Amino acid sequence: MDLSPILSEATVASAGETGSWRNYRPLVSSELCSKCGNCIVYCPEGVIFEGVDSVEIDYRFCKGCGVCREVCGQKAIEMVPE
Amino acid sequence: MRAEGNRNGSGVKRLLTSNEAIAEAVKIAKPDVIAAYPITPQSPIVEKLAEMVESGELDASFVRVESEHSAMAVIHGAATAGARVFTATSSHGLAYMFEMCWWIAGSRLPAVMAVATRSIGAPWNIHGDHTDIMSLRDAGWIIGMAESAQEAFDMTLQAFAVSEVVNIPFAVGIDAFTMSHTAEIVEIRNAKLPERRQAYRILPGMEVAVNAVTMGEARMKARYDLAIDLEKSAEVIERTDGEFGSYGGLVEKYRLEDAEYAVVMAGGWCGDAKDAIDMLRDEGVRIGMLRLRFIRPFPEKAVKELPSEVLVVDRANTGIKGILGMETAACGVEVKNVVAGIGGLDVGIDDFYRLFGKFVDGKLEKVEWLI
Amino acid sequence: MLTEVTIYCRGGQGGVTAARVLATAAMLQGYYSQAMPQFGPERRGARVNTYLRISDRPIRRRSVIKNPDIVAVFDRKIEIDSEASVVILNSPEPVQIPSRTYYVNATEIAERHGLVNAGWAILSAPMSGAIARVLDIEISALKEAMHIELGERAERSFKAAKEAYEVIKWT
Ligand code: SF4
Ligand code: SF4
Repeated sequence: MDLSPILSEATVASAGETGSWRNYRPLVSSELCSKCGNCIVYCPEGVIFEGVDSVEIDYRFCKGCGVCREVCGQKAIEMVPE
Repeated sequence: MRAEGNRNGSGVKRLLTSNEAIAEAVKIAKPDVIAAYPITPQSPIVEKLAEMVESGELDASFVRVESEHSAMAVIHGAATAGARVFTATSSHGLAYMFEMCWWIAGSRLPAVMAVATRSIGAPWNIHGDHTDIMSLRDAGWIIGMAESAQEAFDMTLQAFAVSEVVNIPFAVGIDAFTMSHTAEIVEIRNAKLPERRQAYRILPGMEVAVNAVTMGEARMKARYDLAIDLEKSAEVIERTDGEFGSYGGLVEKYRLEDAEYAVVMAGGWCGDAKDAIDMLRDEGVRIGMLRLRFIRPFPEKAVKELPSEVLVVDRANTGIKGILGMETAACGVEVKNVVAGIGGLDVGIDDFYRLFGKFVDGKLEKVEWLI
Repeated sequence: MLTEVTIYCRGGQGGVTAARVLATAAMLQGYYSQAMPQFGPERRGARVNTYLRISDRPIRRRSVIKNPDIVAVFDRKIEIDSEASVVILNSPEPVQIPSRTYYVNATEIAERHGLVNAGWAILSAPMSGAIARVLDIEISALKEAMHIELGERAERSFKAAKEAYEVIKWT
């Protein structure tokens, strides 16, 4: 039985580096960020991680959608043009 | 008053409804996970299993869910991890879990589901016909239809054995009420199932993507493989038939050897029809029945061997035609087709006798509804 | 030979239980049997039929019984709309009908044995005793069947069944 359509290797970025789609870059202010984790949950690409002073974003895959800015109660994320 | 009639066989004899017989078979199969949501007339199956789990008679996880969609999702997940799984449903419950039925079949996971076949509303009706289970035809399941509580018991055991070899989920159909709630004598055979096997399992710690978005021809290939393997499951069904009763594989041929007239049917109401066939045989009419024990894979070979006069009696319709009528005709067989017994309308021996008489007299239209 | 029995009763009186007990008793005596409830909304006090088939050959039919050989009536107020040749009645006295009539005061027996629940006497025990007698089922098979079907309730029920089995009268 050929299982290849069902099972595949779990690789990072099997659909390519979505960071190249980005027009606006989310910038996190380490002063404002309380590390509540809200943006981590909401990021559709799952590319926000907990850092030392604030959350950190993996820009290879961040597509610049701005969801993280919308859900941040601290207004700690700013979208700046690339 | 004494008789020796029911003394054949070595197992214990018990008076059981088909619901109870299925629960007993599931107990023998020792599933790891059962998940179900109650619905008439299936509920007694999972109530009985819940009792068995509660009393410790059956060592399984019984997952109570809030819907049939979740029931199928739970057994899908459990099967992925290698658990032997069971669920049961009916009618609107099957409609509600329909999406997940496709997922489990497409994921090529072995699973067994009992379906107490019932009408789907509207109008509201809790009684028996085959509308619900027929809707599974395209999803990629093996679909069996038992005729008696004994066969429901045997087919449930066979379902685990077959499903786990061919990696295709298996639905066991029993007619609502006339089987699900009717107590008959069942021999509890001393059957033992092989260990659970399946094509793959996903365990904690494994890094693998399951059912990721497919590109190109992957989905087409998966559908093709499933279709081919579903057809090929016929061999496994025939092979395992003898281990769990002995019914003839995909079909049961009743008085067909020298028949000029053949009736094609499936499900619990075939018993009444056989009694009517006996009456006509006593009058010298050469009539017999091809009972479809399986709807998927469809018994095309047996259908093609039928004599030239064929009547298909359906308990579910698609447009004006009966579904089995359409399926039989698709094998290149000329058929008369009657739709009857929808919504639990009682069709007894006299009704079948009159209907078959009309068929033999050549007085049936191409398609008729017995209203 | 196939014997078809229709039980006329009210929801809650134990018609289904009686049919199951009798089907099990017949099974224990080597017969094929079938107990089939009438399907529909279950409502206490509403009239329901239950069907019982006993045969020395496998029973294939599952349609409702249209022409029963025997009708067993749990409540005298239910009209007997059948031409069955044998009628088994829960009644202290016989009634004037063309059928051969068996009668037993099942309500009184049930009450005396404390078989009452929520305003209704539970008649499954005495009526299964009565029907067993008419069907020629041995009392020992009935006793065993009650243990299989009723579990711990069997003891008291069997006493009521045995009494009905013994005192039933016929016309
Ligand atoms: S939602 Fe805002 S405050 Fe919370 S972790 Fe993200 S950036 Fe920081
Ligand atoms: S912009 Fe979108 S993709 Fe990028 S980190 Fe924020 S939520 Fe994630």
